[in-house]
Amino acid sequence: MRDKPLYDEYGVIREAWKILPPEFRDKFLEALAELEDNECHRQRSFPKTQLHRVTGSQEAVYRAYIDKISGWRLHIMYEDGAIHLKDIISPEKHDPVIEVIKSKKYRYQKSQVQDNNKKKSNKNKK
Amino acid sequence: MVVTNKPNLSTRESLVIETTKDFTNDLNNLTQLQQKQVEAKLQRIEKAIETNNNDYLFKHLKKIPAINLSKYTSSLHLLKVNHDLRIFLFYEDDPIFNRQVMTLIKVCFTQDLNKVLKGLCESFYQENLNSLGEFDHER
Repeated sequence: MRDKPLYDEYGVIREAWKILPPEFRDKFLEALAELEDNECHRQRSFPKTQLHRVTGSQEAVYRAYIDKISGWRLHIMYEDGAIHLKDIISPEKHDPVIEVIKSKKYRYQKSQVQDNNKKKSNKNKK
Repeated sequence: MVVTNKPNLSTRESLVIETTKDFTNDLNNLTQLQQKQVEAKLQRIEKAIETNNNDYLFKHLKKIPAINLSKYTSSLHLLKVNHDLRIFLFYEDDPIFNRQVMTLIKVCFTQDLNKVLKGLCESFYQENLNSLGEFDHER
């Protein structure tokens, strides 16, 4: 299975090399590796980076921890099935606090059209 | 002029509605009748989601155009409960987790809209805020 493409148009890796304390460099590499790991995306589970959606922006911006205890983290964007590194955030910069006390999930009803389209695309793959 | 984006319900598996502490506190400060009106509105939203009723959400959920950010586009929306009450919420697509997320942030009276909006922008957008216009709540 191919890995998830990861792009660094904004030079985040270079910036990380300049500002990230040396003791976090291995963790930074581990974070990048997890973001590229297609198995993590397939299972929607990111145990090292605890990848999660950043609230407040229309664009698909996510936060990935390099090291949660220290506060070093990455902002990434998800576009067209690829990960784009956007920023490396230092512990001094604080994220807005949103205290969620209740969360409820609602499944959308699948339409007949969606089901038919899915069957057609599966048939074409064979 | 209010610019509205029609929410696209068909591309994701689910919608998660998150309730914040601030929203709950605001709700508790309303009268019983007002609380029931807010809860009834949220139940109608939940029903619309469960029945894929896109039009209902589109009619009642408005994006706020007055927020100008430097890096991203704001996902702050306004949900009309009735003539007097509005709910501020974030409404966002979450493609990695194949869902959409609606985060209920504040309930406020119509006359306080601009004041509450200013406070929310200061809390959530900080140095990323380029400008904040006045929001015409009559539209």
